[in-house]
Amino acid sequence: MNRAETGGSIERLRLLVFSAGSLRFAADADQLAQLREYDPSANQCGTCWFHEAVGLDGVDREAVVRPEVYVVRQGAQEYGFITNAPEDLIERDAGSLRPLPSLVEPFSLVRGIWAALPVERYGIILLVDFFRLAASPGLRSGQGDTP
Amino acid sequence: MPHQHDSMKSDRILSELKLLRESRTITDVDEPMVTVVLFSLDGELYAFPGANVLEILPVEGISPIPGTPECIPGLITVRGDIESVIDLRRVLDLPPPADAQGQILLATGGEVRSGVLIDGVEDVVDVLRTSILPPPRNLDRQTREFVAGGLERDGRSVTLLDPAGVFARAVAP
Repeated sequence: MNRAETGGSIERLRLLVFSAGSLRFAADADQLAQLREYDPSANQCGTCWFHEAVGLDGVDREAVVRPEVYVVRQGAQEYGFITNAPEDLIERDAGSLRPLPSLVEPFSLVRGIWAALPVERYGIILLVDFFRLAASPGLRSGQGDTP
Repeated sequence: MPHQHDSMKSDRILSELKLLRESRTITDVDEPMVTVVLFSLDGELYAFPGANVLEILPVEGISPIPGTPECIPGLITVRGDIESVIDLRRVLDLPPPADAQGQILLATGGEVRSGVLIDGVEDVVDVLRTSILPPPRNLDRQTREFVAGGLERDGRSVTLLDPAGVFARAVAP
């Protein structure tokens, strides 16, 4: 996380905005160790398709038209999530994020989606925490390795 | 003095009648009223207690969110806040609507607040609490969890729903 503070203790976040299917997501740019082009011929161990990891139904891999790999590291462990290249980098105060409604939060948190951000030109952006997503049950059980 | 006696008797009766009328009036005023929001769904009438309904909203831009049950089509923004939306048709196992028109009731129940997708609001009325009938005994246990009672409105039966029960049902496995 970017610890830069503005006007007090409000944390400032740099958010990478990307699309998956018809939805827009954003991730804290400081979480990323690397952003690299997707190479289908490369070893994809520890890598999975983002839309599959978050349970986004009705999206084919072919629909990811500008695939890139969002790489995060936790200790010695490295995870990669393949999805469309970022289309925007926006800065927001943490206070402008909205917690998810209580009805949906239990279902979303386990898939790494932890908050929402209304942005006029995009609509509702879903905030994804790649570390949470990497720890989600489906990925922990090894389903995340892309064939 | 029979005339005087008759007069006194009529006064007494009239006085008693007035007292009786006043007592009826007082009883009517004191009888608890409940505001209910009547709405339609698949041609039937349903209601939420008015105290549980915060706002009536148009259906605009429901943004899906992955991983949620099918009866939660997504999220909406309400003056900068994010609210969930549940599809009451799916909760009640009703068929999808013929057209996509509808309204959203922003409702509370227990600790939960959520939009509830309905076909349309019909009316907001005050009814006597005593006119609300208990839920039919023949309802199955799952349905009894979200049906609070029933009432009549213009010859039509209305199912009064408990928003907290509806929300619990929406996320039940």
